[in-house]
Amino acid sequence: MKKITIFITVGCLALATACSDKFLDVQPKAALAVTTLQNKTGVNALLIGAYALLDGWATAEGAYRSYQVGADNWVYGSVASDDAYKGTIAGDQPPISLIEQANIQSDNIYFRGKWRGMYDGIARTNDVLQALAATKDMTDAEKAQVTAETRFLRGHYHFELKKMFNMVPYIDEKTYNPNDLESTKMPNNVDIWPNVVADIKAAYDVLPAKQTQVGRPTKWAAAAELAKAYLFQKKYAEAKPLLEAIVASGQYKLMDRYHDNFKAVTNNNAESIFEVQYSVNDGASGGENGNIGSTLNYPYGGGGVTTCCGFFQPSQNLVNAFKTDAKGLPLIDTFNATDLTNDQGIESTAPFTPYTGPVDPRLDWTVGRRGIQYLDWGVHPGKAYVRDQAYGGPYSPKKHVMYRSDVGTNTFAGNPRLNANNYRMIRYDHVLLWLAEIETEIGDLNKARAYVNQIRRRAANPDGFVKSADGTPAASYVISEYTTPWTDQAAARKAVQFEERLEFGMEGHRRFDLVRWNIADQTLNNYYTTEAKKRIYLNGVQFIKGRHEYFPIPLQEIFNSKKDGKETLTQNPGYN
Amino acid sequence: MQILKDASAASIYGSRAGNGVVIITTKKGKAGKPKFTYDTYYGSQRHGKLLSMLNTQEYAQLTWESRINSGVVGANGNPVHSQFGNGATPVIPDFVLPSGASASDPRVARNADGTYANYNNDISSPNFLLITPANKQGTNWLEEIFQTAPIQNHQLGVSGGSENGRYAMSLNYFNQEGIMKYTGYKRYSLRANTEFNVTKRIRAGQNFQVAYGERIGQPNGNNAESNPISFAYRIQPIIPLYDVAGNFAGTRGGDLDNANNPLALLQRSKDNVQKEVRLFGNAYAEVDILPNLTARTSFGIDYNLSNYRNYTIRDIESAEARGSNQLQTSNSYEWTWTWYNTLTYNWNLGDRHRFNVIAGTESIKNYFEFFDASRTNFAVDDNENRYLSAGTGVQTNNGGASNWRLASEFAKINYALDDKYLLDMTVRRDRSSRFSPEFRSAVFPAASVGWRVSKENFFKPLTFIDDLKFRAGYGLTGNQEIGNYNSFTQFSTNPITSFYDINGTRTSAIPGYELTQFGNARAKWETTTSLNLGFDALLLKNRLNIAFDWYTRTTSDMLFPVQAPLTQGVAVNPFQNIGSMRNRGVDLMIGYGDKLGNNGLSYNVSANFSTYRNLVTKTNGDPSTQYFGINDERIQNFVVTQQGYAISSFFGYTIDGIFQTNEEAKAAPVQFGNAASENVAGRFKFRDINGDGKIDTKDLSIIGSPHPKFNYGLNLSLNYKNFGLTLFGQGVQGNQIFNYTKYWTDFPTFAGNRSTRMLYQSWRPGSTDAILPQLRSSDQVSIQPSTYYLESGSYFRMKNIQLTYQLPQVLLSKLKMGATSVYIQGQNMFTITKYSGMDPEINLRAYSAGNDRQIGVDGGSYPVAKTVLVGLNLSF
Repeated sequence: MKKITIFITVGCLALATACSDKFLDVQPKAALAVTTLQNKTGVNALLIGAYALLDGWATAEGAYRSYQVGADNWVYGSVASDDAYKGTIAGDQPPISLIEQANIQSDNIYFRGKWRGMYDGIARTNDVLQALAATKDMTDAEKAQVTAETRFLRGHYHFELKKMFNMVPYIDEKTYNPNDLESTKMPNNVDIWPNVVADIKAAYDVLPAKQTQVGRPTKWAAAAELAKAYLFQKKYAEAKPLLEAIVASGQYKLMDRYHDNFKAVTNNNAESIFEVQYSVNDGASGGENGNIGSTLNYPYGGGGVTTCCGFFQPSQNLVNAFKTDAKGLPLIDTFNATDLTNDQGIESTAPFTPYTGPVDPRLDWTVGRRGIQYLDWGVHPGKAYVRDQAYGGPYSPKKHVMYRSDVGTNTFAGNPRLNANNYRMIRYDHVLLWLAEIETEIGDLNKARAYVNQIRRRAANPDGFVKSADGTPAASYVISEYTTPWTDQAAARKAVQFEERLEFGMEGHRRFDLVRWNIADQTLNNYYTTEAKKRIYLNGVQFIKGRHEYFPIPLQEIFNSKKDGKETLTQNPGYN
Repeated sequence: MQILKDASAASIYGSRAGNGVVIITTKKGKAGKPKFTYDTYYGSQRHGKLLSMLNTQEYAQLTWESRINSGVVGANGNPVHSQFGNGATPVIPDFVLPSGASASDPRVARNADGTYANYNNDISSPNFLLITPANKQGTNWLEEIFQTAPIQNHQLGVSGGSENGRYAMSLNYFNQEGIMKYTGYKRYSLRANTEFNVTKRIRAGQNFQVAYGERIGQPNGNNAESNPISFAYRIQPIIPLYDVAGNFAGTRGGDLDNANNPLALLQRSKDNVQKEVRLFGNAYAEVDILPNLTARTSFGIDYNLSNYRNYTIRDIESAEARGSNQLQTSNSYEWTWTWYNTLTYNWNLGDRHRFNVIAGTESIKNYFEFFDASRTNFAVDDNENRYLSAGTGVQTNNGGASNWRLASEFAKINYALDDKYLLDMTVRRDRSSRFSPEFRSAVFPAASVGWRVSKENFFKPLTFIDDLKFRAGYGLTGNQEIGNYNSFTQFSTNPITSFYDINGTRTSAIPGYELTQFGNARAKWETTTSLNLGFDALLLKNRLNIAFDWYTRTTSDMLFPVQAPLTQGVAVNPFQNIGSMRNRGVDLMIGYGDKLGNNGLSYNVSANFSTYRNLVTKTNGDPSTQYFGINDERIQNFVVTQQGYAISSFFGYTIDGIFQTNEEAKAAPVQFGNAASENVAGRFKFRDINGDGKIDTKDLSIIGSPHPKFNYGLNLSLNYKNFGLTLFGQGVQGNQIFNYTKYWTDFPTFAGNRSTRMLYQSWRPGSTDAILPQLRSSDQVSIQPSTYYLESGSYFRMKNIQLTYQLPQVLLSKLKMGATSVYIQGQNMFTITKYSGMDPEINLRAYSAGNDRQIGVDGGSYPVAKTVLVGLNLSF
């Protein structure tokens, strides 16, 4: 009898464990449900998460890499234009070569990488807005502020997609449902400019003129971003008052020295309107919050500044654009007739005399070239800094590169290439040159000239010239203002556009600018023809009008967009 | 060891038995005097076939031909290369660092004692200069990373007991050095089990095992592009193992590409030991409540502890050298307990009816937790300094945990009538923590019947049949391998992915949160319904035995981690129930054994054959939906699951040879919108699958299958007096392998070494038997996933040959010893295959459980070793 009792007791215990449903309730560890985040702290944390994708990059997964989504769009804006080559060697990162050679296919992983980064950013903004809607411990003013910042980011991420792919779905918090993976299978048959504008405008209406935390967009950042969106639509009249208001605010100015826009110690300076904030040694194990999208774009193979990987080499065409006439004005029509001499084919140990003709001083802040100081790393030795000169040409990139004096403080301890030299997404010089564009199109050509001259005046400051070790200018820098009044609109337009190229070279804007100016086909086809003499792989390359203005929708995303067996995404014209 | 495939047999083991059950019964003691055993073997392992790669001269030749074909030449019309010069033909230099230097170069000047005057390996010095001679013949890197390695095993056991208690204990030492240099695995383990009769009706016992293991694995993991195997086929042959000072040589130097020296990687990882402690065991008690009613309860625990210090030494000789040394220390532990209770009732009704009834419960609880931390910048690399506190640079730390639970109840009835008619019925209910409460529970019934027809009276005259049994089974099993928290939409925080320096400090970032996993609260159990019919026969006086099974297994509610569109954002994709698939096949085993005369010679031959066809029969929604595998390669996804095809089929372009003439090429559909470059002689001719007159992404289609047509095995054993010889071979026929290593070795991607295939079998004018397109310095078209990557994976492998000698009984008796034998064994002695990779026996890739949707993809996986062993089994 006693044994039976024991048996029954044991049996019941066994069943008690087994039958209780509570036994089967487990919770994820170190992870939260959305309900936990529906409060002020949670919403602010989600918002930081949405900012975190301004660099385009979360983490490596599968074939995705940071360089596909660099905030500076170096592949799509610069390599895919007349500013830069992929560089390095033929066989490294071949998908970039395809883009460089206008062999643009929808299965190129780079397009999907960019698409992925931007839509992840959008999803994060929608997570913020959904959590915010359920939050009770925030004042209306706080909510308005969070909404404005979030919509600024959402507008920005969609803007990136719009300029890359043109026809893309707009995803807002009403469409997006994290618990329904079909929810964002939206067709891309509607122009999303109105949505982009609405988001940024909503931010502009609410954001304060100054933010205590410099990483957050101000009213003026939103104004600039909004104006930029209007410029892409050629809505000059709408853009103009926004940009003029920025000027009138008196909050911004051109830095005395052009190159203060390209060094970590002068991040967030008076010229900055909106920057992507980079940080290092901040707890991220691989320095991922540094300028990781540019991690391949350093001189190659020595240690110090020359670690890896030799990508993003300025084109000869870009270098030539910096030649000036004796008076210091650009050679807008003839700049590419002869090449600025270079050390192509010359060993670093062999003698070489750098070009002695007049050049715009911005050349040597944009391009690293033999015989000129490479930041504070010493004189650029030419071939020794280049991975394969025969393939990628003699030049090195410069603007995003760390200084030697940054190493240890503003560079990641595990890899100095990852540094905290912020990407200045929008600067005051953008505002001025966009105003010059607007004046050229719908205003006063000489006001346009005055804006351009402000830019040139700053560039002409000798204090901002690259110096040799002895303190003298490293090259024959000659730059002057346009003193003759502008009377011809077409000529003025060319001058403004040329100035933008010089001011923003290697900053990832060029191809998008060429497209919005409607001169991509002629400019790039000329470039391919002339540059092919130096870069043989450009032989026969063609920009096809009506197709290449935009990149193709990523093939895999079209496959993955199927709803009820039908693809909801449609490929852009000319692609498949 | 027992293998259960029958549907109802597996059902009792529940959710985790979807693919059959292997039961391993540990050795138990027997009543009697203590019996000692000592088992040992010692052997030697070596690698099999390696890849056929280029030597230095061939590599230079390939480089020149590629560049000339593509017009990538300097001003004098010849290619320009830091090592091979700028001549009409490549010249192999004396030194690769300084790039292309000749012996007379002042930079490589030597001191009187023969040392190099300018050599300086202080990377922080402005005079840093490593001097590396060229290996003019060429380094065979794959040969260099492999070795002949010993393997040994020792096991000492004792067992015995009395009527009231029995015990068995064993001590084991196993040491396997890797065929890859500096890798290996060592294990010490202790096992004990005891069993007591507490009273006449109560028995109790336990078995327990503790093991300590030390593993030095392949750095950076298997099948990865940065592991030693991949580096060994990526690094150029001109690079030697060591530089002039005896330090490791590397890719620092012009045009040497960016691989790491794989030998250096291995040597520097030799002290990165993964230490594991495993405690495993259970205790049980059994009570005979009534003479034929037994209750049993068993409680088992499996506890694992792991510690790993992974130290990375700077590779200053590499082109892309690391900026600092680093240590990562990881600790984790995991426990699983299982409580298993049964009640068994045996009941005979007269002589003819026998019943056996079992009812029971099972509950399982698992918990895993890890902690890891890392630091950089260690003052010295000394082993004794490789502890976190000695690192002065970047510090990180991480920790996390996971858990799962399972609760089940089951019952089983076994009925036999005259031992002629057999019936088995099982029902099991499983509830898993991995599904949301609504879908947590599932019931899996099963039944099988057997008819021992040879016991029928009408069978008596058929004397050549000794035993014949027909079987039929039907049953359901479940699958819950979907990760632990599939139903939860989760947000988390991570410095790498969700922090942002909103204050513009440059050196600190504010924490943020992000959505990291999409939840699918509607996922339910994947269920496999099996039907099998078969027979077992013994004929010709037990000499011939035949077992045959036909089965069809339908898996419904297949669980698959469907790729969400990226418009949804980036997070872990949950498993969803996507449809059904069917596996249908037959297994056949035929064995024949007999004596040959009366001279003590006997033999046994058996062969087994199995074949199955996999077909995805239905997917939810539209039949054209394609479910893609994980894409972690550098090319477009090439694994797809789609209705009407086998699961995990290969996806890509179809190549119909190579254009021989420009005319032929121009007449063909325009390839990738670039006729000037791609429609010329010497290019791959892509097939216009959709017939729209152009080759583009619409021509991607399913191009192959990793599933074999059939598998087979052959066993032969011969016994003559005290000698025994056994042979076991197995083969696979008709499957395809996607040889992803060709991405690196057969196309101009990066500038690493290439296969001999690429040099000798690329197209040249007039070469109609070429398999690769004309050499180009860059070719992004031919490299796309296509039938070129597919190869037959068929092979036959002699898995095991063993010759055993039993010491004669007479001698053993004199020595007072028990059965004792010595043997010599060869494993994987030869393989017959046309597969060009190192090993056709490609394992599934190492994704987390249930996530594996790639079969037969070779990313340079670790080859199986050939092993020769000498062994001894001793008892006394």
